[in-house]
Amino acid sequence: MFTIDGYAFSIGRKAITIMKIDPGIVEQLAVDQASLRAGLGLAKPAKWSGLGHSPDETLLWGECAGSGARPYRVMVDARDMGSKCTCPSRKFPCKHVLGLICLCAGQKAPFTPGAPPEWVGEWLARRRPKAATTPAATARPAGTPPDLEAARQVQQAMPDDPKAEARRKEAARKRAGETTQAVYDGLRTLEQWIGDQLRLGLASFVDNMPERCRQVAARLVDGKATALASRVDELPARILALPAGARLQASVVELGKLVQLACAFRAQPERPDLRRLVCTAETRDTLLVHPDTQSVHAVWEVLVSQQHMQRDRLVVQTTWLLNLGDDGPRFAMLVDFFSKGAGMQRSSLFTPGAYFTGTLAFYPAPFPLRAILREHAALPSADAPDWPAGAPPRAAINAALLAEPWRLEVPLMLPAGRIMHDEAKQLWWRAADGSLTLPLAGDVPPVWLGTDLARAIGLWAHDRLALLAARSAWGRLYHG
Amino acid sequence: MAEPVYDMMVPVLARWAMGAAAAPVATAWQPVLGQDPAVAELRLLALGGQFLDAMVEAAVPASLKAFPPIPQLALPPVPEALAPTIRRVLGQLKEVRALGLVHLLARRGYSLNPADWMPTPQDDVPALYAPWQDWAAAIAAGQETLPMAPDAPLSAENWHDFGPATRLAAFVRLRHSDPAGARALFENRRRHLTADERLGLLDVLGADAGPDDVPLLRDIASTDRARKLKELATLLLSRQETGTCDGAMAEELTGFFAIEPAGAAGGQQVIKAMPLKTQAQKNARWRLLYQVPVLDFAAALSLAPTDLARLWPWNVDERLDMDFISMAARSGPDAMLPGLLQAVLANGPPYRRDYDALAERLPVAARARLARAPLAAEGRLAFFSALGLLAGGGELDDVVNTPAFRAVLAARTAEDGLSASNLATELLALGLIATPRAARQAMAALEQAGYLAADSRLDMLRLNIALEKTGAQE
Repeated sequence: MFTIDGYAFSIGRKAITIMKIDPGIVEQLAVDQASLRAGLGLAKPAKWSGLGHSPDETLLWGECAGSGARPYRVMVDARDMGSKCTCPSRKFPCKHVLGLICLCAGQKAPFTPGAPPEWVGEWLARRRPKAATTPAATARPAGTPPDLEAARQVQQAMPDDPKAEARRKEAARKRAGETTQAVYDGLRTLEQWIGDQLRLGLASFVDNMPERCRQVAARLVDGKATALASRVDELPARILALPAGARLQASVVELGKLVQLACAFRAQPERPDLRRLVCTAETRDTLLVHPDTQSVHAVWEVLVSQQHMQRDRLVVQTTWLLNLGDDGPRFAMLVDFFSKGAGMQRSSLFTPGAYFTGTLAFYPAPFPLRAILREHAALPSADAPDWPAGAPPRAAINAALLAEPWRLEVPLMLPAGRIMHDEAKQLWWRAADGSLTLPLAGDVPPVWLGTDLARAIGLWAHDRLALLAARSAWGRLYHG
Repeated sequence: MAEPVYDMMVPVLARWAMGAAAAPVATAWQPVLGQDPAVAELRLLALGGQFLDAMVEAAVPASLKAFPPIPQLALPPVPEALAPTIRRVLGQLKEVRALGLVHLLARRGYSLNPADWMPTPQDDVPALYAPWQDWAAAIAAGQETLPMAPDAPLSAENWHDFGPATRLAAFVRLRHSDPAGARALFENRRRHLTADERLGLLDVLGADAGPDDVPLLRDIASTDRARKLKELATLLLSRQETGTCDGAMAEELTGFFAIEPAGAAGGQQVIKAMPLKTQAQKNARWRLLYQVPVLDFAAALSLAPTDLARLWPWNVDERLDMDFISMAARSGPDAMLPGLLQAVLANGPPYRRDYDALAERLPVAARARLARAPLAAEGRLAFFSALGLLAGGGELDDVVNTPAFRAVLAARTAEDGLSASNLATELLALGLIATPRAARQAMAALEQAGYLAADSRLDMLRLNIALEKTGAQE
């Protein structure tokens, strides 16, 4: 048990409150000095959103901006100081948990009382109360225990060194130049490989795609074209998902886009959108200070959260958002990466149909789509605006492909329509006025088949439409 | 304008497919392809790819057809405010257990949103959902329209106006309102039905078959083409009369038992199980208890079937008890069931899955009595067992003051209590079987025991309580 300001705070099963947490508790909880220092660094209100506590003051939660597109969700059970964070850190508790506790203990930001979010409830359901000990006390490696005062001093003594900053910038510039040169070599290899596929015949390429793509993807990785390597690696999966009769044409489209992307990169290697597609995405900090970054504040609806695993066993989670406001791009795509089994894949994170008001920072691009979440607050569905009308689908596809010819998929807002079927049981979406009919990629849940769709949203790729969400007489429908 | 390029792309694609250079035939784009053959192929690939991506559309078949619209159900969907909780609970429920929620909502006067849940044509769901089952069958069959089921009672004349599921639901209603009419209709139609359809209708008749149905059952048992129909008819017949099995088997079975006086006074009798010496004897007894109907067994023992449960040697051999319960649940006449339930509750072994077959034969109130049995012991999945016994029929009021609930309370902290997954299952099942009053009591007790209201394992209990507040229709 420890006390502060007359409040008893025991780490046990009796109900205790979080309102006046002893800042010293983080010293007991932290596994090492580095965690403690990083946690103190995160105890800044600007890094947090959605701070709250349960009415009985036993639970504490908040969302902390991390390096990913979406914030980490952090929660603490004050009864036994159990905690959970969605970050991939292997330290327990991680710096985000320590930051949240510091933020609360130092009363540096207001915590709103209210019902815990669903993700806190899910964590509670999975956890067992701990014994009345702090975890770090036993789990901590041998050595000097974390020292809060020392961590504070480090926080305060971080002088701005202009020379060091200049050295860092010069080193970064040099690294970027080396990367560009390596990528040039990689792109040359890619184009030679594409030429080889044409000479060997695309019929043979379709039959041997996985092996051939794997080989050139490995060489692209060597050439520091990591993002492009992933794209080539996943090319077979995209094409083999299509009917056999469509694969040859799809191969031409995919390989043609690679040629265009390689040409564009050679012409403008510094363009951030091309560098992102070929090398790697900018860091969150870089993005936030880039002059072309577009920040859009709006009401957003979560459409669908999709996951797929890359060959390097990293799971890519893509969350599609719909902008319900009048300004900015109509769609946004949050992309997060985490290692398999890291726990980030919880379905309740950005559940389809959830609404929030928030600011998204869009990565600079001719067709801005990928974004990160800067800050947000949940919004009751009753307060959410209606779906706006979209541009005519064909015009939207052409606009996107004109802006970015190498783009693989285009999100579309479709007008009123209905799903039809042909004699081969292939599904089609047809506009209510009959002006447009598009083939669907794959199946949809049964309810989609038996109702008029007042509006629908889908991803257009390889001449097929993958439906994500719709409005109908049965309410909002989600798929994916 | 795109037409010449489209025509050009046909030989281009053909050449690329075979591995031949295509630039020489791409006449429309020659000026931009350049002189270097390798570069020209790549440029043609870039141009051709974009052309195919942006300008070529799939040919739309002329014969596209719409699916029939999903019919509205007789009960309204759950209020929108509860939809998120419903979705969360459905996410926690496994496929089969989802039916527990379906039944609970139907009891409270609501239906599910088809976007959240849709039955398959084969699911055993409340008749409320029969229109959706017909719709799902129509979709699978590629039908363009779905007939509107008539409001009138089922008859030979309107037989084809119903879909398979709504027809079965109408047959159930007819059987309740006019048993003889339902039997006559079945006799009239059965020559024209598939074996599966006949089986479904015979199952309905069998639920309350009586002496008047015996001639029909005899006819089916002897003349039907389908083996499953014959077996079901024979089973139903065995609940009505003796002689449906070989008399020698019944005699052989009685050899394993003896009727003896109970106590020194000798006024009462009891059945005594003869001691068995070999595994072969055990196997033979088990096989005969499975094959011989209760009526034949009772007749061979010269006992009334209603006396069997009362005189049975309970608690001597648990396996023997369960075999007897299974035998009675399968072939016992309706009149025997109340006495059997009483004997099981007083003397029967702790809950086993075999009890589910007995529960299926019982009316709702009696089923609820049986469902309380597992709650009396700190079984590992007591509430889940009770959920299975109730099978969607009825709810339990007094669940808090039971050993099973005390086990749930203790499991939050006890290291040797329920496992985490079993605890979650129990809380879910508790929410599915509790009356609103019981759900409120349970929620209060759980919170007092340290469960937090935000705990998602309590979602089903919260939903149960919330459904009452929205205006439950019992």
